[in-house]
Amino acid sequence: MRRRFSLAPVALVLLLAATSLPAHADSPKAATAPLLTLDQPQPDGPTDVATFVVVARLIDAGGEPIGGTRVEFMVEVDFPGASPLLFATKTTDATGRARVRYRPAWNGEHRLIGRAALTGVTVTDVVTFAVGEVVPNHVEQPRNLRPLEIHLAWVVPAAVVVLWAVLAFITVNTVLGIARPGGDG
Amino acid sequence: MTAEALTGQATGWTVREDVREAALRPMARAGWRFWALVATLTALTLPGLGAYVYQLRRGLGVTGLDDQVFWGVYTANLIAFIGISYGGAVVSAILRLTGAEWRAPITRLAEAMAVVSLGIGAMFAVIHVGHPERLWRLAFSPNASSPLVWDAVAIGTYFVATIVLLYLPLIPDFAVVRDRAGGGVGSLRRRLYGLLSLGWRNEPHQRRRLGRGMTQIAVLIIPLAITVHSVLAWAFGLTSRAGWHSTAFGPYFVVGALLSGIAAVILVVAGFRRAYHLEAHITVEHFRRLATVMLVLGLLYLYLTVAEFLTEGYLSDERNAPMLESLLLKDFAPLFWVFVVLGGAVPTLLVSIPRTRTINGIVVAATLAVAGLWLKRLLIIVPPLAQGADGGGLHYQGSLVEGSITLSAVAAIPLLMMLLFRFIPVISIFEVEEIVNQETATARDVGVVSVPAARTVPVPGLAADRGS
Repeated sequence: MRRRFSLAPVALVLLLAATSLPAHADSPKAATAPLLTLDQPQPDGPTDVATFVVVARLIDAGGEPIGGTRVEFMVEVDFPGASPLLFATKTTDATGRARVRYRPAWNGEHRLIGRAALTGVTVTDVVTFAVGEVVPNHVEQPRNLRPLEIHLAWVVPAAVVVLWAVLAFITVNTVLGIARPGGDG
Repeated sequence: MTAEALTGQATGWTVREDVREAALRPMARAGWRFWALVATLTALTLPGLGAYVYQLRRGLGVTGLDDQVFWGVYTANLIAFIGISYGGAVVSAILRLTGAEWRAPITRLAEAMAVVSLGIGAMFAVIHVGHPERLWRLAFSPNASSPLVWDAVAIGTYFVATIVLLYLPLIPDFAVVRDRAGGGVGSLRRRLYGLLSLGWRNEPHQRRRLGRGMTQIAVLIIPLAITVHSVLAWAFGLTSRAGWHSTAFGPYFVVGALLSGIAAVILVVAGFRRAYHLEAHITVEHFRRLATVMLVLGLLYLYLTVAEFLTEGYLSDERNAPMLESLLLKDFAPLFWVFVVLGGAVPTLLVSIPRTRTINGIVVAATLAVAGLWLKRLLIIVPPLAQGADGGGLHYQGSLVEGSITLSAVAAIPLLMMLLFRFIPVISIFEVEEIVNQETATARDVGVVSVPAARTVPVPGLAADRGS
């Protein structure tokens, strides 16, 4: 029987190779395949330096924006094992943009990954940026209790300690009282 | 020392042999039905574990949460499960302090449910954290303004207290198990029961000390439980979103917790009563009394719901008005009115109308109340967040991951309770006998010679002198 040469395995290998290659932001504009680019994250406004805005842009092979496509935003973490951690998904608008907010949880370098699955191809991009100081999010909290806070800082922990002491006393006293032979002691 | 002294009969302690037999029934060899149910519940639990591992690897993005709608199903579960626990513990404590004698056969079930549901509820605080491996920092570098820190302190303290509440009345019951343990029980288990029973010999000083300890812990656990649920409420109150700043929020959460807790106690009592044929000890009267408590709390909860919306609706400022409109008339209205009708009005009617105050009617009412209150917690959390900090409309839809983990948690409660009662008596033997003996003493004081249904018999397995 005559064996027919099949192109399917070759095509599969090529497809896998193509989809596993990241599409970089600095790739030429005249792409031969859809392209996803992540802009450098920027602080979310002049006052909120704790939150960053991440924008992904998705274009087709002709450079036209692709709207209505879901983009996944991930951050690389080292637990459990080095893995991308999904933190947001957003659908691209008519201009091909998907915009999400990212609040860094640690100081230092952050490696963000964007990924969009199109028909037959998955495009990704990576952007790296550094966070100098993670700022706690107190922006929305009213500060009216500030005069009390000085006292609450020790009153509340003291109350908790007293509570624990009472609980321990009841438990130990009961247990020892029962275990001790012959009377209340 | 003689066997009579060991059982306390030397001091006139009356033993209820029928109660002891019923209490130890779940500890006997289990039939296929038990294991089939365990297998089914385990099968329901496993997908949730898988979903959590998936969430751990992929991040909280696999939930419907984001940086704006940051609380959802998990937070509703946290409040609902801790609420259920709260009901169990406080029911037991309040009924003890008020001397409600009918409580005795159901306190163990309520206390065990409190421990199990609290453990599972607390896990949702961990599940909700994107990086659970960093939780140790709560202990060493806590951020005092974080609700997570206060949740950990409040829930941790309450958890220890509920374990003590469960353990204290178990001490004499462990002694019963220790003394009855025959050849079927391993020596290790027998030694463990001996250790946990603290050398209990039913001596007057031991009974006195135990009674005092149980009363003290009951007194402590009530304010503790109120604090825990108030802390949960204030975690909302201290967050800047519309609808979370009602002055009634603390009591609202407390009453909701008590209501769901009572309803859950009814379900647990009904389930174990049927499974282990405890009909002789847990009667329709127990259900009716619990239903009465549920009715009062249900009406109180509906009142607080109206009170909250009335004042916020009257104010109707630019932040509250759209949220209330969304809740009562628009996006969330179907869910809200389902809660009002099925979770509020129908259970209230079922436990009010004499014809439906049957065990089945009360169980249906309790089921609706538990489900309705879970829905209400979700409606407390999501609409204000979906409104957004700046009033812009946002979207939240629970994901399959959240659903799987929730289902697992629901299945885990009966599963863990079934397994727990393989090791501890399902009825508090000591408390039943304590009440019988109090009745006997009272009857003696007023000149009545005998008390029906109570008899003084030697405890089998205690024939030999154990030598103190």
